[in-house]
Amino acid sequence: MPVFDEAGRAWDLGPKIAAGGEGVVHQLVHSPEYCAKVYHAAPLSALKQSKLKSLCGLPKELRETLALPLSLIFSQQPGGKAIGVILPFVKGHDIFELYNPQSRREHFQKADFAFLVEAARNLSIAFKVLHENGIVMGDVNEQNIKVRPDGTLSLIDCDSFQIDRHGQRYHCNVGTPLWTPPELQGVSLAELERTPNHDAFGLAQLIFLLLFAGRYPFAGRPLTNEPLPPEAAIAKFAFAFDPTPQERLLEPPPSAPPFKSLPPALRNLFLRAFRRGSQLPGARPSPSEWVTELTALSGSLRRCAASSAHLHWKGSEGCPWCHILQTARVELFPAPPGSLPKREDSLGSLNDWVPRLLAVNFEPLQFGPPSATLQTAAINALELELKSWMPRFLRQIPFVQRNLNASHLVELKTRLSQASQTLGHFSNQASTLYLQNFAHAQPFLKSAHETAAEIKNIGTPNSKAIAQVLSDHREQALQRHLERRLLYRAQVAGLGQSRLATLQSYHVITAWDVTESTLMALPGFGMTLTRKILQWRRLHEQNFHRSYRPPTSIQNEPSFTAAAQREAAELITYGKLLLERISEAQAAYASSFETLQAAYHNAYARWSALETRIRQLSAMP
Amino acid sequence: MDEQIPFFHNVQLADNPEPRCPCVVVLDVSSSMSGDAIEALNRGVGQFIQELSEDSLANRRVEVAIVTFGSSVQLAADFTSPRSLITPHFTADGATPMGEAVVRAYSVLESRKEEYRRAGVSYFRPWMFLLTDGEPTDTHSKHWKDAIRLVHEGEANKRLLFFGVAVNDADQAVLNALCPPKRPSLKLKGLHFGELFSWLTASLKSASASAPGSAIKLPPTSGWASIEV
Repeated sequence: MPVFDEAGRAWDLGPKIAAGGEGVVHQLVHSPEYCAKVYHAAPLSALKQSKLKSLCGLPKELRETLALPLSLIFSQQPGGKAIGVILPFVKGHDIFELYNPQSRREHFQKADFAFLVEAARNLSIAFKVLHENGIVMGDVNEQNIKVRPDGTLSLIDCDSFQIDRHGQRYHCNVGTPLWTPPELQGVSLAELERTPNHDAFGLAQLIFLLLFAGRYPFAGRPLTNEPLPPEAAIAKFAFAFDPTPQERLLEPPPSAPPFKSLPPALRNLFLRAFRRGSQLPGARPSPSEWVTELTALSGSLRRCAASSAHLHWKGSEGCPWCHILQTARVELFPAPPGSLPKREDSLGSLNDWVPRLLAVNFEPLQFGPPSATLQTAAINALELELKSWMPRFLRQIPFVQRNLNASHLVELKTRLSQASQTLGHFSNQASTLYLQNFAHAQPFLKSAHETAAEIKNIGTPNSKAIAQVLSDHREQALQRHLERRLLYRAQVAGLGQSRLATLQSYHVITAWDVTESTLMALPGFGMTLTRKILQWRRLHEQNFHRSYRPPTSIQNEPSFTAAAQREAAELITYGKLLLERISEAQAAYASSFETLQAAYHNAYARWSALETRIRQLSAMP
Repeated sequence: MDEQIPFFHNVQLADNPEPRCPCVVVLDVSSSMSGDAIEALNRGVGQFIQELSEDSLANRRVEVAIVTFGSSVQLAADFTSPRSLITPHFTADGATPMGEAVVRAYSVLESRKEEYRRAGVSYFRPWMFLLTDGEPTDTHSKHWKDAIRLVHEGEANKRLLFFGVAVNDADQAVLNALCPPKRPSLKLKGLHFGELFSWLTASLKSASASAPGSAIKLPPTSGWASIEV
């Protein structure tokens, strides 16, 4: 379905890339650098439209940090109902996928602690820019900030920001309980003034999450029996890591980095952000204060002796990441697997892209064999199990031994059939897992193959570029043809000297200038005359179409080369995006598959231990 | 029976300290569910787990456990994240020990909450979601009284959100004795398990993520619930 921007340009909505409470975000076909947000509440209210227009008009420099809309979009025809906006497509991952250790291993494999400090610093800079321009983010949360692979960030969902423009305040009416400062918990947010001090709460919480391995400042071991859901803990200023709290409701969680693993100046900023008193105007640390202290931290990091991937503040007592590895058996910063191949930055040649896009597939993974250690462990466990069935002294009597073997055999066979069932169950699970993941990747695979076909088409009569050039050529030839047909030679009945003079004064001189709307607007041109003049034009058009011959060597036209190049660049950028999406889906599938495979290996080792034992027993007399 | 201690469980909490929204699904797999109903239920549960695992944030925050009741009460899946949950296949058989199932589900929930507390991971109000097509066969037992007490107290103290859904010709009057008074049972339209579980996914997403505003707004149930006139 095409939609139109304010300039009347048509855009084709591509596949959905996200859906939220307010609307749906679509990709734009052939314009991978943009996307379109279509609101559920369309057509948009006058207030919403004017807020969106104000956002479009904010200074250009802000676009580096904010994903500001570029234009309103309208349905059906230019000037139709406003239904949404065109937005820059922000590459990267939600910030929670960086601070959450599990997601970080999936999406930011090379991010070490220095990277996290840098991201926190970039985040503070983004808020500094925002506040200096009189904008308050308001609804700071884990899904409103995108982090790019190089650690720079963009704030998205700008349509909810609080801005002042031309004397009008546009409020931020939304918030998320987990991210709402104590003084606003339970308060109605509609039409409420949001301040930089409110934003400073969310900023501090994000920095905390980045530096403390995804731990929330208001989550810890509860010291009372009362349930303390996250928003209640925030409302009570229950900062779990505060060494000297007014009232202790939570103690720091086990296997979290110690509060003392950061320099005193930074610890002090966190206390100012989260303690009682932080709700007073301007009390929380400003973005520039964070920038200063985070810059200092990034200059005083040290590599741990045990692992080159463990970076920490040099004043910390021991390496916090080694400590967590020992106590919780979790490796928060695994060493990267060798040196990864360098990412190619140029788009490469067209011919390379067709096979690359056609080669993408999504094959099911197969279970491998379990390790020898696991097999041995299963055999040992089975031996222990067998021994527990009968006391030792009874087992030594030969008669009992024989009967025992027989009854063991029966019992073992029952267990073997249970184990086989479990194995079958895991195989079924593996196919379900594959189908689930394949369903997710399939639209991207399909688009990749279609894009490959479009790339192949560049330069053939099926190509969009060639179609465009041909239609441009025809249009220009038609114009030249019609411009040579002069009205004063037309010999249309009723078109005398005076009417010709009128036409001339309105610059209607050739057949090309003649259109229905132009003629109707002229004084003294009735229906009949208008129809006759239009007929005259149509006659010349028909003559043109009969005699027109399209150019034969279009590939040599400079306009074609330019159009083909533009189309190629667009298709390749889109193709690159699709390949990224597919490899993300493959990584997610592989990680779920590994969990399943671990369970399968255990079951397989058990099955094979049972099977071996049964064979041994059957061979005995 | 000696239960194995899943080492994986607590590693998950240290490795993913996001606040959790635990949801225990209590399913009727008694013999009256056999045929189309149990097949529709199997598909519905599979789709539920898939939809949850596709959402990156819900996958880190929502944890699902499944308790079934039929010939016996079973913990078909213990609490884990949607992506690592292995969906069991249900077969219909036996009676309807609903009271015992609710008590069991409550204790599974309590022990998971204890694990959250020990690991210092916070949690949102837990959900219990019960689906039945029959009349409980244990209304004269201690379990049934305990179940009613646990659900009603849990709701009153805001420690639990309980939803009861009636399938086919379930006795809603008996089910409503179990349901919290302010949230009586809903009746499933035909075998619309797909719509029902999509609703549950959407509700859990908004309970665990960026639901704007301070109260959880649940999506409309009109896609799957029928209104008795």
